[in-house]
Amino acid sequence: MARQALTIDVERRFRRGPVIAARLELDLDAAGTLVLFGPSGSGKTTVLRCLAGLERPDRGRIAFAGSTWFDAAGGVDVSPQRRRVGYLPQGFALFPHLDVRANIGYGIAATGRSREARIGELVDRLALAGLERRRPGELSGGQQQRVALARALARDPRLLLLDEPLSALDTPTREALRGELRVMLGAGGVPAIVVTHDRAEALVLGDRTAVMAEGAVRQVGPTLDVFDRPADEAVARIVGVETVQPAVAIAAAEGLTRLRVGDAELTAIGEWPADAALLVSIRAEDVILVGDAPAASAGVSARNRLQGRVVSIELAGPLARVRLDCGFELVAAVTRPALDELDLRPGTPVRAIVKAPAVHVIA
Amino acid sequence: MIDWQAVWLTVRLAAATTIVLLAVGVPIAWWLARSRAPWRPFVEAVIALPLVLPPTVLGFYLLLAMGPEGPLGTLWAGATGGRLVFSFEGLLLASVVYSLPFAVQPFSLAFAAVDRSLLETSWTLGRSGPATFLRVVVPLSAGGILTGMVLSFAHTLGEFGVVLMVGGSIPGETRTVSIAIYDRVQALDFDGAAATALPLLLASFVVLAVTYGLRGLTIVPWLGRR
Repeated sequence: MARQALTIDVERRFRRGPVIAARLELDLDAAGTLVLFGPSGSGKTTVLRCLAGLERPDRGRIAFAGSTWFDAAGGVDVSPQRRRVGYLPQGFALFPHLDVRANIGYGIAATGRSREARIGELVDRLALAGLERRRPGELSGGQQQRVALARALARDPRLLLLDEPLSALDTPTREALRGELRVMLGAGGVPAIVVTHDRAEALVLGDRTAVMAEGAVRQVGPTLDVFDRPADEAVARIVGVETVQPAVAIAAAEGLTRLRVGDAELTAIGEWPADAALLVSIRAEDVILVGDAPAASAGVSARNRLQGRVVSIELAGPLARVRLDCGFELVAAVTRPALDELDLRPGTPVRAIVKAPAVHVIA
Repeated sequence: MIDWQAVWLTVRLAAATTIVLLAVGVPIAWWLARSRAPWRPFVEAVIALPLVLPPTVLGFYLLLAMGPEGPLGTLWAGATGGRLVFSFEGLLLASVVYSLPFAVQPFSLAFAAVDRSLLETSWTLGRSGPATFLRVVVPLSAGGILTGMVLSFAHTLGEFGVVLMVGGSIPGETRTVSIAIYDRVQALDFDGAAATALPLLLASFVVLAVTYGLRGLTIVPWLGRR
């Protein structure tokens, strides 16, 4: 699939507010999703609105797939009508006075039979059959999300823009819809940019992630890399210091699941079917290090006792981040006195102990 | 006996006022609902003035402006050769000014209640500003627009002070129902006054009742529940 170049270099000043000065340059895969991740106020929504043409940057340039959408120096500012983006604002903004059919058909210029055919196609594709005559108020959160996507896709957009797509939903629904949204975005065949402040959403939805802080893009890369290897302290603070690794379920019983992570096995709370592809995240603070004496970890209640070796040590204030190789890469945060007591240095064999509830599984 | 001429004139005046207010009030209300201009409060205050000014004060200034020496009167004379005061056209203009807040405020409240993200989504779906207004804003504001029109109509039916100041009491031209009733009472013709008052009462009641029935809402939305 063709890759499409995206260039964002915008500056936007708000009165009595922050200055957004974001730069981002990358190629989007045809069906790939880029997550704009950052705390609220970091400017990610502003960047998304600039992309949609709903917000006008004070300076800079925006180009996508060979067409310039905005160029302050050249006086270019393509209207939102002509950018052909599918924009899903927070809460989806379905037209409350129109039924599902009319919502989906809203942006279709064609009339008559070809219009009906296009609507029918999207109704099928997003599993909305039977709901055509309902109003948005009579739909569940998941159905609303599918209608909003169908409405955006009806116009053959070149790029989908989603602003906190799951934030309006309650927690159980949100978790259930995360996976569904990923499948739908993948099947849409249109590159997507998703704004979120939710780590799990970023991990599940984003093939790549751009981390934003204080109006600037701080790091861009494959999502797992960004979460596993923050480029600097600011990013580390935003994404949280922790290990994020792909995992495969081996077997589940009595509310626990055995997972294969790299060359090691972990036990986590919850049940997932065998062979399910998952992600696990472990906060560095939740990892306990024990010296390598064989008896040292006998009689410990924690389910996960991993044999490993120190790869590197970074000092950060009173804490040290110890990177271990224990069949996968695991980061532990320990105090400096602990570092001295265990005499840790690169190459030292250690055991890492992690309680099962500290292994967070993201499906 | 009912002064049918006055009744017919009043209905014509109210209908014409409502139509003009729809055309004039919608753009003003849209601007008020969306604008963040620093002078917006002044525009709002000017539009709301008829709510608090005694009709005679408003009528007095309108009379000055519309008189042969006034700016509006001169303009009108230049354009049509006719005069504005003591004519139906002048009365219409005065009614429009007098009822402006009754149209603009409900319109504006309804427009402001339309979520901005609906408009933005419509734009990204390829619909122009005017198309978005017709397809999204108007249907979602239908209740407020209807309320504003009914209020304009009803308010014009009942106006008196302004009409008296700028229209006088010319049968078939400016003598509305309320002026006709006043004249009858002045002439101590209470039976005639009652006969003319009754249709006004009934018409007002029917218009309001039908609107309540259609909307199931309070007639004055900024006082009642939203």
